[in-house]
Amino acid sequence: MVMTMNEHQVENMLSQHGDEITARHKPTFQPKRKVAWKPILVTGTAVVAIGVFILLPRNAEAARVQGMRKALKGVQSMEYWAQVRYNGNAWNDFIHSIRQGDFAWMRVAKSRSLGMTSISNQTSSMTDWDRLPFATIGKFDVDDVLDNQEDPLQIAITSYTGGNASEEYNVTTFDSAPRDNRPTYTLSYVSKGLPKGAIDTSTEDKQNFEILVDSKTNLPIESSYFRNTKGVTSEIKFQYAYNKTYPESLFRLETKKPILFPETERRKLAEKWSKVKIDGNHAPIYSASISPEGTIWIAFGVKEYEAVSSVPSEIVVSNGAKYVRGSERPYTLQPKDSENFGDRKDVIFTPFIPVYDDKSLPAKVGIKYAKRETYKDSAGSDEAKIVSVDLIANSWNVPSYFPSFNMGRAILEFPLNFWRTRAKARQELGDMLGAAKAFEAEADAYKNFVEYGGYKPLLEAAKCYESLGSPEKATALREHAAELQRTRIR
Amino acid sequence: MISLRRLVFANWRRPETEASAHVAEVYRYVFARINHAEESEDIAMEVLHAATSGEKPENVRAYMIGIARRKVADHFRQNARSQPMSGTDERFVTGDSDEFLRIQMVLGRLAENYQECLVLKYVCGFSSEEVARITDTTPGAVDNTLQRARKAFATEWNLLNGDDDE
Repeated sequence: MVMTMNEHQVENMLSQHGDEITARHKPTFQPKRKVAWKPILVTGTAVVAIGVFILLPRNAEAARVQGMRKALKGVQSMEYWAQVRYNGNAWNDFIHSIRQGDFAWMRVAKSRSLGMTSISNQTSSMTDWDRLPFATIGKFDVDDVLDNQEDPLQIAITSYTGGNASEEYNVTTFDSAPRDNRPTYTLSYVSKGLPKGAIDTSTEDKQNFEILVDSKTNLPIESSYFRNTKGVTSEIKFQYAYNKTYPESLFRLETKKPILFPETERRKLAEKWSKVKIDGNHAPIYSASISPEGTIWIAFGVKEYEAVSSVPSEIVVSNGAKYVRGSERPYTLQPKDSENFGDRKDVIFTPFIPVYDDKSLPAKVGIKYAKRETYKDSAGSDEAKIVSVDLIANSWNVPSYFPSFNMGRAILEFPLNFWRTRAKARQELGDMLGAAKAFEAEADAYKNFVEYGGYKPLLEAAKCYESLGSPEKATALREHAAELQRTRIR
Repeated sequence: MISLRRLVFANWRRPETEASAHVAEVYRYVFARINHAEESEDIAMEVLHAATSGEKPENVRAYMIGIARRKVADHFRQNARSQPMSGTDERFVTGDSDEFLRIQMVLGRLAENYQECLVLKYVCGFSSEEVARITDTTPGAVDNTLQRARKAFATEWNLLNGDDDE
């Protein structure tokens, strides 16, 4: 499983990555034997001779790669389509991208249930998630968007390799059958060993890819990738088109949905929130709201997200409904953000999720403070401070200010967090049937996200049913989970 | 077969100079930037040579990283690449388990100044003040860039691994 990351996890990940770099290549830095100069000098001539022999085919490959690079740099526009499939199942479209000139870019990313279109021009960029009722437009940042994601050279040559095809692959080239009466050649990359991440050396784990290139133009026509790891095969294929002229309308930031401008909205919020009175060392509450399904959202500001500080930790409501804290969402002000929240650099959005639906929605909430780090599950040490706040009604399951903090994906993801938090809370209360139902609801919510991801909550639900003495139900859920894993429907 | 590289690396160990103590860090920086083991070793070797052939600088570690930065820039120029390690849509390359390669990919997709700040600060462990000295800017500017870079890294990570969320 690959975790969804927020910016606050980057530091730890990269620090460990630094250690990993040197650990992986340690042998080179610790020569194991004393170097004997004489034999090396004696064998030098032979080594050079062998080297020349080995280098010849590599030069042919290098020349073709260079030719392709040069050709790609000269294109005025590039369009590509990508499809993916797992375990030999049906092909699914997942990317369609068009780049024209330097600053016009349109990209459609798709899965069966989660799609997103982004369009950028010289000044702005629009993000439009299929499942959200709005689109957002923000400043176009060349550093953040275009240069990093749409380099045709890299798409064709190294998109499968992370930038260094020669590192892990044996590269060969050969002439291929003509395509549309045009001569072609193939660049073939075959992994030297097991793909990284492969753990079972007894399986046929491998990965390779090929790029079919037009010999006359040196431009890639299509490429394909294959990987077999741990019994799961992944295939991906790209088709490319070049130097077409696309209408400007394609790159207009237009959609039929309402368009929101996060920067403007955020500035307004900052103006309001920065006036919230700060009481000692306690985090100021910027907003408290309740969603139709009962989730209570608290937004508050902290000076440093990494530091332990007095922040909202638990809530109490007058009708006695039980709430648990869900996964917190942070937003760190960026230098390009013109707004400020007083002396607070980070805004934290904390959901408190009702464990059951048995109570009416409260109008007020009591917020208890504890000294703790945000983004972590720890309860921290309780503070004496409790504040009572009126709740604003949300029309969605997340607060209306979420789009202002570029949390489109977080909105789509929230139902998963909601049901998972509920399920675990019910498990802790010993309500295994309630937990099972919540895990099943989480799996169902995955249908609107990435369907196959539902296999995990199904397995959790199966465990619950087993503990309840319902092995048949457990077996049925496990079979369903296995089917999701096998098909990997996205 | 013992490579010339291995020969030179062997020589790094004797005598044990202050510069040789920082070679691993230089290698770490270079590899994080160019994602190529052998070329990283070559560059680290050249940096060591340069660092030990002149007058001893006040801060050897920062001095060596400064040389490494120039060598990395040369490397990219020689390879005629417009962006260090940039790429796209590699989400299917590494399967579900190899975080190491995923991190390298994500770093490669970031703007160069973002890559550099993240690598110097977190991968190599320099303080903001040291990063500022190395990159000839102010600690405040470094922190600002780091903020943006962390966000960009997280965004790219989530894009790269997008549909894998479970």
